[in-house]
Amino acid sequence: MRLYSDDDVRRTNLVWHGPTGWTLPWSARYLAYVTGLCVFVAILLIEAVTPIPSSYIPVWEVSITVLVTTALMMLVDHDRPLPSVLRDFVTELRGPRDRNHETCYQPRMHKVRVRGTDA
Amino acid sequence: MRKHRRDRAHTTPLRLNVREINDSLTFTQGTVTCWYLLSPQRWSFRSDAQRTDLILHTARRLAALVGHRIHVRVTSRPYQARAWAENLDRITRQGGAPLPGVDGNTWGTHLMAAQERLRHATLSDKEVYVGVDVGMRGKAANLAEHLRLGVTSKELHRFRARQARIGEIMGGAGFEGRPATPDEIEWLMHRSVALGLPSPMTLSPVEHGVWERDDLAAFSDTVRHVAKPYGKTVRVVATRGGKDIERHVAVLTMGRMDSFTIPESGHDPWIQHTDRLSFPVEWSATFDMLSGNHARGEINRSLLKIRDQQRHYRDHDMDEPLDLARKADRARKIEDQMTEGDTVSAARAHGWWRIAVSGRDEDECLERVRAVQDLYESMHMSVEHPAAQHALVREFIPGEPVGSTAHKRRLECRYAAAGLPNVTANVGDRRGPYTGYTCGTSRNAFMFDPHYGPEVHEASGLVPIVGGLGAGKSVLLGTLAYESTRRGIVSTILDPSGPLARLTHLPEIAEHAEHIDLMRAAPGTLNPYSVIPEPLPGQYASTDELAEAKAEAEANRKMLATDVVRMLLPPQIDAMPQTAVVVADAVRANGGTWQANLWGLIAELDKHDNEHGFTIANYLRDMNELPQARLFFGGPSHQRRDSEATLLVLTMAGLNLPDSSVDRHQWTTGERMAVPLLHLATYYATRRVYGRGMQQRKFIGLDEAGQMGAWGSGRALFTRLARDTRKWNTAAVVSSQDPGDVLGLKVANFISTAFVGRIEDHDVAAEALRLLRVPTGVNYESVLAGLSPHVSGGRGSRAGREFVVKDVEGNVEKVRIDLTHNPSLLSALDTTARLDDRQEVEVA
Repeated sequence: MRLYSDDDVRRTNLVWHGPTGWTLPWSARYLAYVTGLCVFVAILLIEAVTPIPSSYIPVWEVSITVLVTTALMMLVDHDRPLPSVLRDFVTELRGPRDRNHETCYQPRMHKVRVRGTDA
Repeated sequence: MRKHRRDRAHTTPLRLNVREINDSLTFTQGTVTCWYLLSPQRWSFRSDAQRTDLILHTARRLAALVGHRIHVRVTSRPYQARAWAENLDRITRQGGAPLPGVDGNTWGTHLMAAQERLRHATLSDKEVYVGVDVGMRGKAANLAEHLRLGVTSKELHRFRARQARIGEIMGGAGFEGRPATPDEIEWLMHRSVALGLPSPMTLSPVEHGVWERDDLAAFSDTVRHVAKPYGKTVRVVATRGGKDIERHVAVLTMGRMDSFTIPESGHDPWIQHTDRLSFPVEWSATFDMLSGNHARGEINRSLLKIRDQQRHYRDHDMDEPLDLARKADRARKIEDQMTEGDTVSAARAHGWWRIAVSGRDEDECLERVRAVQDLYESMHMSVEHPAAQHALVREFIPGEPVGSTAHKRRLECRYAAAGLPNVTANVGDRRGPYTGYTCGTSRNAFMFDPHYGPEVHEASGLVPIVGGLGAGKSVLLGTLAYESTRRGIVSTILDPSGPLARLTHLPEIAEHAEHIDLMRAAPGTLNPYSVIPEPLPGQYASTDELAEAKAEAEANRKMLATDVVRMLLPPQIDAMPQTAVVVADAVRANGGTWQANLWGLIAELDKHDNEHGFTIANYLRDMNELPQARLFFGGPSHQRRDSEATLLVLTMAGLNLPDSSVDRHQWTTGERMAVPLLHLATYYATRRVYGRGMQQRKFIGLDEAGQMGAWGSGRALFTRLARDTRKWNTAAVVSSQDPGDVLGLKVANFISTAFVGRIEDHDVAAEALRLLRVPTGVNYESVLAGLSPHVSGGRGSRAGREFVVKDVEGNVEKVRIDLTHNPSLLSALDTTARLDDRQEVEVA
């Protein structure tokens, strides 16, 4: 009996080569462009609210955007979509921390009521 | 210690989502889940058709649960060694007192040594819990929960109705699940909170063998989970008796899972595959069962994306990647399967399958992580080590949310079913002495009581052991005899080659053991008429039964005398047609009483009308001149008293048995003499079965029994023995090198349990598989050839030998005999020649 997983079908690399007739010299996922745009806007916002000097030609901004987006895209794949990567990040952040910066919690069983025929 | 205090000072209490356990239901703030405990299923030594059926049955159960979220938890419960030992002691005393033993090795210490072994060998029972979400709790229920009113009877009644329907599905073939009890769910919760830590029962011996609720709570409430940001492992720490116990736990998740073929490929079920690891792991799976219609939307969207990409590549005049066309084709097939396929093939399981690995420190834990990843590489499956470890550890606790949405798997229902978490190695009676452990699909304790068949299943007590040279037959036979003797069971071993006589020198049983070398026994000891005991009146319910038994005994004596005479004759004389007539006449005239002897038979031959009788008589007189012939010529004037020793070992030093492959015409006189000697010795050994009460337990071990099948009297003995083992509560363990010999005894229908050791010859292995009632021609022959692989360095004999065992319930598994808890027995039974031994011989 041959058994298949449906994951293979979902594991398609959706890339954008540019507008029709204008093929870009690089290949990147649609998601990378969207993420890159968000990162770029975020950088501009940071520059706007902080006293970091900015120029009219955003060379550094674009460079940082490319680096950050590339780094993010290394974490994101079909098995780890962007929402799950962000959720994992938040999970790691939200864990209670001790003085040693370790998450430390104590599951408490004693508040669970147990009822039943042999309890 | 300072670190430990610091952990405690900053520990955040975490209230678990489960608010109430009510019978088999768990209630969280939002959902209600019904928990079932699955029955173990067999996988080893089954035909492909049976295995396919098992997968399909499981798939049907899952497909029937479409619309529900399912939680699977695979955990283990330590073998309840103390309860087992108490039960064994009780069962033993039902049949009589066990042998007291000697100081330092009493019956009690013997049981304790086995219990220690069970604990240290981490032998445990696998438990598979399946939770099915049966519905959401309403707002009123949530309000009641906030007011700490608990679950109302109205709410409970609502879920009970759904539970009944799901119970029917879970009880079907493949799962054979039963509702879990509150105690079992609570145990699972405690086990999950303390994930990776040794089970409470292995931490300290409890007086009564069972942990009470307060004990468990006291243990679990000290558990703390400590994790570093993006750490590879989580530290799970518990305080017990003022001491911290710590384990590092890593949770892995199933990554890419390629297509695979089962069962034809010979792969294990993919979840059960981790049972092959040398360390325990736990599984937690959470998945939604979707019908084809519900899962189709996602596949359609994927197909549209693939088509769009194909167009995009064409627009740019570029070659599209080859996998796009393949994926489009696959997506269409899946979509077709979902719309046109039957319920099982259309259903899908979407969710997360996690594995928890633990180690004493982080290095050991990560080493084990790599071992798990390597294990699945052979099945073309990847196992990922994701982030958010502390949330994933929490996910193992029933009722807790999914820790990370990454690595979500979308499997067809049959793929999910082919994981078969409830497959395990299940063999043995769980009540007898500890004999070894299973070493095939998983590692479980193997207990074997040879009297389990006759006493519980009303089955025969005939147990054949077959295997080639060095397969470990003698060690196994000796082990079974030793355990029986320690339990006070009257045991007799016939071991022609003699090494098992060393058992009688073991201090703990020496006082109750006797060794008789039959070759040096008194003349007439093996008289063919007296080796068959006379039935005694007290053993039968009525005089008719007694008369019938006496007539049968006389007929058997005559048959045995006929065979012995013919065995002694040269084959040319035996083959003459008049020989059978003349010998039969003389045997008839000599009678079949226990007082008769071969001299009487010779006198009848002398008196026979046919001259051939005189010729045969002369040949028999010639044989009488051989020294060993005195054992069966001559006869007793009184009924022989059998040995009163608990263990009687009969040996036959110097017996020269002929090779079964050599033609009878080419046998030497010594070899011709050896065959009747072995026959008579076997009859002699079985005497002790009939000399005691029918209900009293008896054990008889016969080595080299295969030779008996060639003669009618031998087959008759085994047929009678096989039939009588149940009536006379006897375990008859019969050892032979060739399974064909055992099958030739025509007792296959009586075999309750069978052990098969290493056999390299393919045809012989096929016969052995017939003995085990395992399908032949499907590569199981090579499994027999691969048993007890030779260990380099010459220490092979010390390692436990492996056998394939079929038990009285028909379970078949690979088992390794384990004597590590009894080194003196292991030393006594070790028959392998070593350089030291040879040097000693040379010096002597």
